[in-house]
Formats: sequence, C-alpha cells, structure tokens
Amino acid sequence: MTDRSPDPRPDIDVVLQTALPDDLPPDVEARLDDQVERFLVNRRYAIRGPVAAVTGWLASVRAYVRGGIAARSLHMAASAALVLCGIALHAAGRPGAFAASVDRVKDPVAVWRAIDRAAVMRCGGAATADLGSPAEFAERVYWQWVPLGSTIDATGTTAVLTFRSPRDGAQYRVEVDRRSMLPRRIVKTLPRGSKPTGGGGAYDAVCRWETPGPESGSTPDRSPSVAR
Amino acid sequence: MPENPGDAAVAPACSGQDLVSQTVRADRDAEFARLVLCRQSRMLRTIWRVVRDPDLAQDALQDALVTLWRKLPAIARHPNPDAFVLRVCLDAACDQMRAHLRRRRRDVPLDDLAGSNVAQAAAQEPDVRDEVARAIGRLRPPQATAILLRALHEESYETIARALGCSEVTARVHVLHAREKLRIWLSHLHVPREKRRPDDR
Repeated sequence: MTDRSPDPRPDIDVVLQTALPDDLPPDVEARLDDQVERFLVNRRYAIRGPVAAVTGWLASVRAYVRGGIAARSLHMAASAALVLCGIALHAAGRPGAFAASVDRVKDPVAVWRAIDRAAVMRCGGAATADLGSPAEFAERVYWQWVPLGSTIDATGTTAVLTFRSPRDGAQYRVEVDRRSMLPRRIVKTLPRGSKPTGGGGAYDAVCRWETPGPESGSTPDRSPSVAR
Repeated sequence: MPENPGDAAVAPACSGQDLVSQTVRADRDAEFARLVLCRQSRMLRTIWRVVRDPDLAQDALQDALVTLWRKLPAIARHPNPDAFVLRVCLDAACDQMRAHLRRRRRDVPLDDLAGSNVAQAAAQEPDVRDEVARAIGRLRPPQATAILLRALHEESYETIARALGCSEVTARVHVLHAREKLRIWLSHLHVPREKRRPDDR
C-alpha cells in the first residue's frame, strides 16, 4: 500500500523539479525581503500606543463575552467601541507617521542582520568586551538598544546611527558602511556622573569584520539542515 | 522586551530548534523575528517555486507571515519548526495559486471562449509551468504540501509527517496519491512508465 521503496527520483518528481526550478529573481527577492522587514517593523512599532492598547483590550473583552442578554449587550458595546477604535487608529496612523517609524528602524534592522551574518568581529579597545560576539552585538542593536536617529554623512557612504542603552543610559554612535551595513566605528559615551558598569567605560573603537564568502549569497539561509 | 535586558538570554542566531524555545521568556516579537529572519531565504524560495509570480508571491508571503505570527506558540512546541514553517509557506503558496486559477477561470471573457482565441491558445506551445501549477492546485491541500516537500525539498517522510502533523504512513500515502494523480494529469509531460529507467520506482 505505502511506498516504502528507496524512492530514487520518480519521474513525476523530476517533472515538478524541472517545471518549478529554484530561480527566485534577485529583484523579486529584494521586494520580498523588504516585505518581511516591513512586516517585522510593523509588528514591533506600528501596533503600539494607547489606542492600540485599548483596541487590544476591547478585542479580548469581546472574545470572552458570550451568552446571556447582559453579556450580549456588553458584547455589542465592545464591538461598537472596537469599530470606533479602528477608525481612530486609522486616523492616528497617518502614512507619514508610519513611514517615519519604518525609516527609524530600517537601518537598525539592516545593521542587525548584517552583524548577525558576520562570522568574526574585531573591535579595538574595550569594545570587544562590551559588545561580545557578533550575535550578542546584533541582539543589542535590535532588541535592547533604543534607536535615537540615523543620518548619512556627506560622502554618502557612511550612515551614522545613534542608540541609547536602557540598561546603563550609555549612548552609542555607530558609523556604518552603507554597502555592507557593518559598523566601522563605535563610540560609546556614558551619561554625566554615571559610573562604568560591567560593560566598561566609554570608548571609541574601530571595527573590522569577516563575513561569509560571496558564494553564500546575499541572503544566506542559515536554517539548520533538517534530518533526512 | 525582558524586564532586565542585561539578563536576557543572548541566543546564538539561527541555532536550530532551540531558536524558538530558548527565547520563550523573551519578547514575542523578538522570537518571531528570529524565527522568520533565520529562515527567510528558504521561505521566499519555497513560495516562489510554487507561485512564480511577484504579486502572488507577495500575497502568499503575507499570508504565511500572518499564519506564523498567529501560530508562534505552537511552533515553539513543534518537534520540527523548520518543517512547520516550510509547510505554512507551501500552504500559503498553494492557496494563492488556487485562488489565482479560480480568478482566471472566472475572468475569461465569453467572447474568448466562443472566438478564435481559444483555438489560437490551443495551437500555442503549452506552458509546462502553468500546467504543473494547475495540477498541484487541483490536489487536496495535504497531498499538495506532501508532494512538494518530497519532490522539491527532498524532505524525508518523517519530516513531512511532522510538518503535516500526521503519521509517517499517512505522509507516504499523501505523496503516493499525489504522484498517482499528477502522473495522470501530467501524463503528456513526463516520461511514460515503460520508458523509465529500471531503477525508477
């Protein structure tokens, strides 16, 4: 009944492989990458704020209220309020505001991904001890540090990103190569009067990176291999 | 975000199954981002191989991302998150493909059916990719997912079973039935059984 043969390459599988090749065009890949990025940014920043919080609460109330006349009235009231909140969210979430929030985190996302893919990070001074491995550094850039702003220098080759670490209030000025999105120089400054914590004091460090070779592609898939 | 960021587990990026489980206490957004970003390339390629259209790929990707977000807790408990993500992408791609085919069937103008366009189209070289996509769209969803996991991704039956949430035997049956149907529907495209190499089964 069941196919327990070694199953080398049945003819129809070959037809499928030939007809549906793995040939994602780079422009489509870039478009889809951008979509993923927008989705993540949207998840993290756009669905926040008091109106969104109220909307979430109303939605949960609406979901739990069932049965009975009083409960049904409450359910209807929650539904009506939910509609109003939806309208308010639309009104508040002007395209400009959303675009600004996307722009604000787009560079940190790109830096995070670039660092995360890097194999080796070599930073001078106290930076290595402070930042740890590329994975640890990437983690901080995206999930722990608060992005304050980003500018592009006059040459157009370097983006300057500033972050604040909520842990010790330290400010990080990260100069990023816009082509590779990897940091070239990191300047850490501590708030006035604060004492250096476990992460160390202020520093100004130049960083060098080793990235996987070009054969791994622009968006390497580092998914673990699945047991066959 | 964890209460004390300094105490947050710094997960090695893309480290396999622990990827999801080891960040349970961390922010759900972070967990989701890691899940997606570590598998992004494979997800995009998987979707593209089925839909082969930029707009459909975007729609399928959006559906897949929403499904993954919604099912994140289930993925954290899943024995093979990679297989599950692959299945979600294939399901989303197949759904988009089916919807696209339905729309196209519905949108064929009556004039075209009665006029010379049909004959003209029939005279043209058949688009193999289109035919294959249509045939996959006709399969039952678990069969489509199973055969695509097997034929395109060369996944083991064990992985297919985990992705579909069924037994290995059922996974084999899905693949077997899908192959039988596709052999019939695409009989004009592939090498007939009698002409196959002796080691093919």
